[in-house]
Amino acid sequence: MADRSQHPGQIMENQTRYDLNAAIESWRQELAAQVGLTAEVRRELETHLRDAIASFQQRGLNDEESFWLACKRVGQPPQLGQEFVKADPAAVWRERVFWMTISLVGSYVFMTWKDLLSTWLNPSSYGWIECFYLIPLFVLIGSVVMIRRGRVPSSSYLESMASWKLDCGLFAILTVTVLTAYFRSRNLSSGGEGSGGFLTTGFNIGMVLSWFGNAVWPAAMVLVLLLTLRRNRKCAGRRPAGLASDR
Amino acid sequence: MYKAAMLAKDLVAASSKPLVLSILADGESYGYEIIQKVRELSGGHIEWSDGMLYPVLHRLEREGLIDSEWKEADTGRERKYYFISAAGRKVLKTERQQWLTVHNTLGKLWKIKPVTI
Repeated sequence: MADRSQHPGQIMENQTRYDLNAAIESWRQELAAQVGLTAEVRRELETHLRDAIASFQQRGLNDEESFWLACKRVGQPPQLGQEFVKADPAAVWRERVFWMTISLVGSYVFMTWKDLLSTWLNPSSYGWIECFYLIPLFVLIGSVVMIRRGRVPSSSYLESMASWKLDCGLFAILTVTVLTAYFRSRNLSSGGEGSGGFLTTGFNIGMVLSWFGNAVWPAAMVLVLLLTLRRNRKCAGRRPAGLASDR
Repeated sequence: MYKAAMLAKDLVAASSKPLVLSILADGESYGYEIIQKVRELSGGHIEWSDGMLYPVLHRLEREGLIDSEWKEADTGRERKYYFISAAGRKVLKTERQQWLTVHNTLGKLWKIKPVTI
């Protein structure tokens, strides 16, 4: 019986074995290309697909048959996308606003720190410093590729990030950035002329308006960001008493 | 022998809310299990397409009738479990009264014993 495994037919069969993981990966990528499906929805649908596949496998179907039938049951990715867009058309825009806001806040922080870096580094090296300008472009291209491939963090990850840690972190980054920009613009950060004059020179209305001009729009962006996150946040802690225990 | 026909599309859509809420009122569940339960309880006459359930679940969640939580199942795979909220229980009570009213009205016409609420 042992030599049966050496049978050429079986070797051929093994060589042409259906790659279920590759098929699921391909399905997942097709799903990620749909507009109306968030990362969390895609994750949930994939879980459902895997459950269906496991169920068919238990009934004795092979990998290919199980995958084919499970796909048929769950539905084609474009059809699924349409169903979700119909059910919640605003969700598409919430996700777009979320990523646009991330980009705006990121670019604001980057542009501020880029100027500081270029000052701190040797001014004669401005040639390569200009390469910093390309970083947001790379980040943008990378983000688009990641989103299209469904590799962005899952929604639940974002939800867990959308805690006080994220709120405080964003607030701290923006505050430091805005204040640094402000002090720099007033030549107060380098300890040179006017240092220690933050209080003595006092604020004039132009400075205050300038500060608010710098602070308000990123703060507004952060607010939009938090609102889009909170809109999608689930209320795990609101489980009513008397429900069945965990399975 | 009489064989019940598949439910009309409109009726399937209309009944999805009370069905989901009723299943979740018995205990938390996840998408695949809900579909299996509906198929089993209806004897296969209510056939939901699997992809159709999730927009319904997400709509109910937006309305605050159900909540959800990702949890690790026995298989080690994470699943999103849904459970009914207090608001969902109230809505289910109303839905139950409405559906029984329809049932009893039709029952009287068809000489079927009424169901008490």
